[in-house]
Amino acid sequence: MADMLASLVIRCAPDPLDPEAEHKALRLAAKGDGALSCFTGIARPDSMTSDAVQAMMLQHYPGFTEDSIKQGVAQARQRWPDLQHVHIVHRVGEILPAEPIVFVGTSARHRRTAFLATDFLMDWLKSEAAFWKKEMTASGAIWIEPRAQDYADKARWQSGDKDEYDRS
Amino acid sequence: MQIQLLFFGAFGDVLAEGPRDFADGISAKDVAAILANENAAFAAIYAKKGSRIAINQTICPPEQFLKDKDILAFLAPVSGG
Repeated sequence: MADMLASLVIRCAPDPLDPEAEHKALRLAAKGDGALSCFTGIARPDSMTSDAVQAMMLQHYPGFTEDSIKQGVAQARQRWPDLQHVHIVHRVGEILPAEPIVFVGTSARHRRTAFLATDFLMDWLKSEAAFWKKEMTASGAIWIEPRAQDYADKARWQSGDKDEYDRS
Repeated sequence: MQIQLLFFGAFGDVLAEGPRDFADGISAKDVAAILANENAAFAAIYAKKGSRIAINQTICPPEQFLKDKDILAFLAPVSGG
């Protein structure tokens, strides 16, 4: 399914993430589409334990992680067949507070598909894609697990109430 | 037979990766039981909702049997984005 897109970019890398450059690359790729929707996730300075975060460590499983993202993209394409371009860039390695950690950009002829697909793909990255996030604070390191809210966000897409999210 | 063990997320803090010999015909679940018996921290992470197993980069049910040189990865609950 994912290969039926006009283009698919999935990149997991330790390099700094430049959301503006990623937006521009998507815009240039998506010529002819009427809608781009882009989301950038930023590393927060506050931790799960209220201590200040010194850094985060993002681990992935090369090959497996990219495949786990492709599964989410395939589901998005199945839900919204008019989805055209998908660009997903995820930092791995050490990330400092306030640095961009993830970029998800999608394009389609009309806005609703782009909005919804970006939202869906972020929920997928939060609770299904193979990343592991560790927060480092002055009092130690802690592995972050999906919150109940993350599972609830993803469950929205399994409700079968398609109209709730596909209303144009 | 020799199995390559990989540990991701919290699993990586409690066990070291590498090749290890197991009896022929063992399942992933059996390997998990051996590791859990050796290491209580591993057992606690394995019991968590969201912990999964992959064999040769494919998510598998724990009951799946292993072959010589398989790569068995223990995946702690994920958290991307």
